[in-house]
Parts: sequence; structure tokens; C-alpha cells
Amino acid sequence: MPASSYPTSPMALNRGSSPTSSIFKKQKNSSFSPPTAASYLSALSQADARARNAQRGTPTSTPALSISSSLTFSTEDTVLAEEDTADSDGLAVPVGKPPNSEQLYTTVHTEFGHCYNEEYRNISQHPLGAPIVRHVDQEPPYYILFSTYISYLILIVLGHMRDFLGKRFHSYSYRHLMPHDGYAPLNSDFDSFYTRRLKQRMDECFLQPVTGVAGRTISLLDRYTPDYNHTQIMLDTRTRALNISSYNYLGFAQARGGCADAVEEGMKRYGVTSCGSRLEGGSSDLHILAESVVAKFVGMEAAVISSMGFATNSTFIPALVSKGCLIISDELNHASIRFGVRNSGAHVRMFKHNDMKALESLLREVISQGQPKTHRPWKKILLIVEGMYSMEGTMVDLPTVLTLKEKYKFYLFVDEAHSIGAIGPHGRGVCDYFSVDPRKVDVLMGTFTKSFGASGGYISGNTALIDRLRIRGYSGAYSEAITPPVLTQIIASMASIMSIDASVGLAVSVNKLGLPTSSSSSSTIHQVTEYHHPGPISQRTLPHWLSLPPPLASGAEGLMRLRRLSFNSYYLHRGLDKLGFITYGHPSSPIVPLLIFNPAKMIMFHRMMKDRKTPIVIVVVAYPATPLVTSRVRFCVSASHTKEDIDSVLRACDEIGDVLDLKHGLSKGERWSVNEVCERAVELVHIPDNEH
Amino acid sequence: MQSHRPTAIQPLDITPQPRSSLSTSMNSRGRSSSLLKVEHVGSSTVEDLDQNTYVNNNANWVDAKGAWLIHVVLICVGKIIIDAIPGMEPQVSWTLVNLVYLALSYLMFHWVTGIPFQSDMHGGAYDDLTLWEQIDDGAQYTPAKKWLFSVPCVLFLASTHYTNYNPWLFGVNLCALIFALLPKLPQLHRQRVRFLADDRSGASTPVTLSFPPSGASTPVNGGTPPVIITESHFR
Repeated sequence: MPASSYPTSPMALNRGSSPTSSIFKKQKNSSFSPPTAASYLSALSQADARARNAQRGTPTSTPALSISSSLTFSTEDTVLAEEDTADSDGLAVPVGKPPNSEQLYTTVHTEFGHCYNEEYRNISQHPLGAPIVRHVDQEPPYYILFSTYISYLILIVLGHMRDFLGKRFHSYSYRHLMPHDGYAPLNSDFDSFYTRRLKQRMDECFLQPVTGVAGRTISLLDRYTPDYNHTQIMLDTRTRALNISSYNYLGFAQARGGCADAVEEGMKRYGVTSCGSRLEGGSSDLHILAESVVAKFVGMEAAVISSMGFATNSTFIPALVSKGCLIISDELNHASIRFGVRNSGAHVRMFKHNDMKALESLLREVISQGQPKTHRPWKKILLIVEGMYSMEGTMVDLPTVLTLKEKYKFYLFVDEAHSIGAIGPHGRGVCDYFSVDPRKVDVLMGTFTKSFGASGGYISGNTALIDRLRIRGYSGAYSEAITPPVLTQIIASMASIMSIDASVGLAVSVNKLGLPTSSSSSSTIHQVTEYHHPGPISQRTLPHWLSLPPPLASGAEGLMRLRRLSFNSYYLHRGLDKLGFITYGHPSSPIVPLLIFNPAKMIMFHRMMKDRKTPIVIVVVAYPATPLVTSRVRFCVSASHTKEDIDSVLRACDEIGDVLDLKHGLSKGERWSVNEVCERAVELVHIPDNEH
Repeated sequence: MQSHRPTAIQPLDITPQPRSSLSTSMNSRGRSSSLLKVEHVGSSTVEDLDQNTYVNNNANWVDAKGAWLIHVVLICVGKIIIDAIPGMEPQVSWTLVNLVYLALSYLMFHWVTGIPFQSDMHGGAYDDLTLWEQIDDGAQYTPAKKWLFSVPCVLFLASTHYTNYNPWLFGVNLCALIFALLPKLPQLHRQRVRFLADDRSGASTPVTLSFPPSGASTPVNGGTPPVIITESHFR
């Protein structure tokens, strides 16, 4: 954001260090169209040739020149032209090891980063038999806590004083908060106190308008505020920033690629809308097919899809439980779960986050006491946990929960919104990670928003349960059916993670005596090929018009994405720990919360990250979404990030952490320098979980 | 029947005991004729469900690390600031620290009700509860409450020591301490003490600080008469 032409806050950090020339140059072409793959390819090959001439070394492998030679053209949009003037942020062209002739360009670097170094891969799996270490939240030194309390106290006192004086001397701007003319106030001034007096001071961090695909990089619409965040005024310029804040775990947020082509094909066949709710004419064969693909992916018998992730919980949980049932939910469950739970009318009890001993004592208490006042036994006890918690990055201790389930015989609902597709050697979620049979869990729920580049959610379980949920869930009758393009994206992305098995399976079914029978029962027609979980999906269960490019269909790219994601998660987590920061959560989770504690440091961190030469856009979370003192930055790592992107994030955190005094984890003697972290990345990632 | 024509709108007089003619000519105070009234803030099952759904971030910071020592730190900082005023004696200074701490902690824990954010998530379940009553889901004799009870006591003891047991200052400190400790007692959990309760409708509902009681804005003395709109307005 140019600093000179309009007023900025007097407390703005001096931006003399960051070169503004690149920002100005970038803004000449405000309508930035991404380069075509061919021009990009040619540009990179020319850059590579130049580099080789400069080095005069013997190349061990030739760069991929096969496609580009016939399609070379250089216009204003090619990367090469950009590179000379405005690629000083290093986001458009990959750095690092170039590809060899077997590797193909299939993606645009600004959407999905190219990384051909096979060392930067890791498998996310819990070692069998290893004890599960419960994460202990590190505490900062006392002066940080005291300064946090005092800063909140000052903000609250100032806010109340401003409200008090403002209502008396400036009552025009407080009209909506005070009764007048016989009308009650429009908003309660006490309920909105936090939003008006604390959050509005930081509003430049929130609700940032963006455009384009939220992939590896994202295009921010610049804005400024003349009156301390009361109004925000858009500028005409865009800033391309490294995106470490979007939920894009496997990098399927792409405008170009095999899934996008499949979506176009699906739109041509099915249109853009389903034209109705599921129970009233909005069902199509594509819905049934997608639900069977989802069920196979997750390892369950059947699944039902809903068009909105939040609505999946809020409409299906009331269909599972009602008054007279008990729900035991974790302290930090998502708002959608709580909404559904509250809607259902069942009783709720909460247990301390991830604490299995507290859960067991709570279970003993509720089972022995029964319903309140009457002490009758509960109709149902449903335990709702999340596979991965988005604010903390912690994972549920699934094996312990399953042993408790065997012992106390409650029902289990696992919300895998953040863990499906992101965890596990095959990407099938927490069950895959811990190598447990998913059929042991009663209800597995998940969303498609985070890992599959789609939207919506699903609930999976056994066939009888799902058939009943289709009717009793509110979304079947009252909400729209999910739209065909999104369904195609779901099918394409899941198929590419599962890998497609093109072999023709058994066309004849056999009965118990081993004699071939005629296919009289309808079930044999659907189950011609056996599906073994976790494994490839047969071509017959996918739509016939769906043709994914070979890297996606063979599962190679899906596996590469899973492994890159796991590497990036471990690397960022362990790297930040070694640099001296306090992070929460399990190192295999792609969500990395970095603790900041003081509220004022949040906005400073955000601004310093955005003003760097390579701008990085981050998400800050504070009270009241988190407990009072633990404000944090939440990094969401993606498979589309390369190791060099994570390096730049680590370097940025290191610099900013020194300025803002955020390193309260390891002591000074045990910390590593950022160069050491970057060099020893692979070693860091491969430390076993319980030794770290 | 007594016939009285009140000049202003007055609350209906429906007390069962016989009224003398003398009292009807004066402004009667309505149903409750006592100076102090103690009311219970009840809880319904709906509120219980709402409270159990979400963790209450407004109240659970008192159990976090550093939340107990911050009282000591703030008292020391306040003492230093008050001592910096020229001409301050230790007696007055300690009394002031005691009174200011009691006043501010009373304001924060026992006056303000509700949660200053996210009111839609809790569905108004905590709107009538002060911060003290929200701590630890209303459980009594918890460590946080014991600490918050003992800090004013220790401060009182320190202030009486440093005022050399001057009877006037001792009295002032003691009254302030009792006033601040009363709402912390478990017997007064969810009880509201109302002084000269203003109950025009006859039943006082506990209201939050920001809203005036209903009818406060209703014009009493005539006001503007209603405008009757007929079809002729639109011709």
C-alpha cells in the first residue's frame, strides 16, 4: 500500500525498509491475467538456459522442452515479461530444483507450487503401538501475561470512557445505541462493546477482500481507512500475497487442472443447478454416484451429502438425537455442532478439551445419574468429537475413545471437517491416521471445503442410519440439493486421491456354493467390483464422461499432494518450535497456531507480514474466539506450498518475532537460527513424534 | 370505596391491607413499601441448555495462569501511582487503595451483568448473571472464588495496620469491605438487592445496566397526541 498519497495511522510502522518501487510497478497492470502454461513453460526454459550459460555447468537432466517449442509466443502476459519488472516478490516463478524430463508441468505456480524435490515428502501416520502423547500447552513468562491483562484492562476502561462521554457529547453517532423518541435502542451497547471498542481497532486484519483463486497465492484488494476502521475505502490496486491462511490442504483450489476440466464437462451435462431439494425432485444420478464415492472414500457403507458444511451438522444432529438424549461434546467443538445440538433439545455436557480422564469420569457420572431430576436412564448417549480442532491444531485421541466406547457403549460422532483428506497415509482422515477400522465409529461427518476444493458436507454411517437421515434430516426437505459442478469437483478430487482402477471387474456374481448365478438381485449389479478400504476406486463407479489426466487418475499426483502436505505441516511446526515460538497442536496437523498473547502484537504482526517484499497474508484469532490471553496467528499449510514458501514464512516469523518479542518457547541456547532450520528441514521432519 | 383522582399516572394500588384515606392522597410507592428488597434470579432449563452449549470465555480467564497475581500487581501499581500524588500520607494512601480496589472489583464482578460479546451464541443465557455468578458455572467454594474473597480481606488488614487503627478510617474500611464481601457469599448467589425498587408494573424484572426499565421513555405528561391518518391525507 503506497504510504505517501493519503493519511495513514500515526502509529504505522515505518515502511522505509520495504522497497516501494516494486509495488508501484506491480500496480500498472491491475487486470492481471495468469499466464498460459505454454508461455510459462517457455519462459522458464529460457530462464533455465540463461542460468546454465552463466554457470557453465553440465546439466544432469534436460529441462522439459517438448511442448513449448511449437507454442512459444511472448506477449505482455508471459511470465518472462513480468519477471523483469515485478516478480521481485518471488511468487510467480518457482525457485529450487528444476524438473527433469519425466516430470510434467500440470499446474500454474501461483495456484499450486511446483516442487520436484522428492526429499520434501512425508507420510502422515501414527506409528502403530506408540503411546499417544497428550499435547501440553506451553505457558509464556509472567510479564507477558501481566502485560496482556493490563492491555485488555486499558482497552476496556478507555472503551467505557469513550462510550460514556460519547453518549453525552456526541450523541448523534450513538443514536443506534440509545433509546430515543420512544424507540428502544437498535443494538445493545453492552453486547456490542467488544465489537465496537476492541475489534474495530484491529479491523484491518479482518474481512480482507480478495479476488481470484485462493491457492498458493492470493490477490488482495488494497484498501485504506480514513477514520480508524469505521469505513474502509477500496483502492484500485491489487497485491499478490503468499497465502498461508486459506483452507486448501491438498491444493485443489485451482482454476486450471484436471478437476477444473472435469467440472466444465459436468456443467455441460447437468447444468448449474439441481432445481430443488433432495426429497422434492432435486436428486439426480450424479448425487447418488457422488454419495457412493464419498462412502467408499471414507470406508463406510453409505453417505448423504448436504450443500453446506455448517448445515450438515446443524440439520443432521437434530435428526440423530432429541429430548431425553445426552450429548457429550468437547469444550472446543465447532459452532455448527453446538448449533445442531442446541436445536435438537438434547441435554449437553462438556468435557475438558481432549482430556480422556475427564471424559471417563464424566461418562461414569452421567451414566450412573441418568436424566436430571427423574434419574431415568438416557435414551441415547452420543459423544461428539472433532478429528482435528481448527483453533488448536490438536487431534482427538481416537484409540482411547474407541476403548471407552467398547467399555461404556455410547455412540460416537466424529466431525472430520479438517482431518478428512489431510491426515492419514491415504488421506482418509483420523481413522486412517491411527489405522483403525472406520466402521467402528458410528457416524463420520466431514466437509469438502478444506481438502477437496469444493463446498458442502457429508455424513456417513451404515445404510440403515443414512437412509433414515435422508428423510429425517432437515436439509432433505428444506434446503437445496448440492449443485452439479460442485459434485463433479468432489468426485474428481476424491477419485484422484483414491486413484482410479480401470480394470474391468467380475461381471458375474457367485452365490454361497460357488456356482455362478444370474444377477437377479439388484445388489449384485452395483457391487461388481469389490472395494477394499483404503484402496483404488473402480472406473465403473465413476461417471463415464469423467476423464482425469493420467497423473491424477493413477493416484500419483494425489499421493504427491498428501506427502507434500504432511512434509509442510511437520516442517512449519517443528521449524517454528526450533526458532523459539510457542505453537499448539499436533505436528502432523496442517493448522499451525503460533501464540502471540498480546492483542496489540496481532495487528502489528499482520501488518509487518503484509508489508514484506513477498507479502504474506495471515489470519489472526483473538479473544473471544480463544481464551483471553492466548491470541494467536493461525497458519494453514497447504500441499500447494513449496519448501521455499515455508522457508520464507519461517524467515518472516523469525524477523518479526525478534522485533515483537514472541519467542517464549525454547530457551536461547536451544534455539536454532533460521538458516539452520532451512538447511536441516528434512532432518527436522523425520524426528519421531514422541522424541520431539 | 375511596374516590381519588390522581393528577399523574400512578401505579395501581392493589395491596391487600386496608388503606387509610391519608395514604391515598400522597404518592404511594406501589406494592413494595420496603427500602431494600432481595430478589432471586431464577434459571430455567432453556437457560441451562444454552449455558452448557458453549464454553464461557468471559468468565473462565480467572482460572488461567497469571490471573491471580495480576490483582497483586495492579494493587502495587495503584499504590505507587497514589503515592506519587504530592502530599500523600500513608494512612490516606492505603485507605484510598483499599477503597478504589473494592470499588473497581465490585464494578467488574458484581455490577455488570451479561457478556460483552457473542450474545447470539449464548442466546442470552448469561444476560442476568454477574461475572461472579458466571465463574466456574456457578459452583461455590472454588479456588478462584476463594482467592477473590481473600484479596480484599488481606488488603483490609494491611490498610488497618498502616492507618494505625484510627477508628474513623477503620470504620470506613470495614464498611467498604463488608459491602464488597456481601455479594461474594454463597448465600447471595443469584440474589439481587434492590434499593427503592422502581416497579411500576408491580413486578420487578432484573434488567441489565444498559436498558432502562420498560416504560421509562413513555411520555407521562400528555406528550403529543396520536396523528389520526384518514384517506383525506392521500388525496
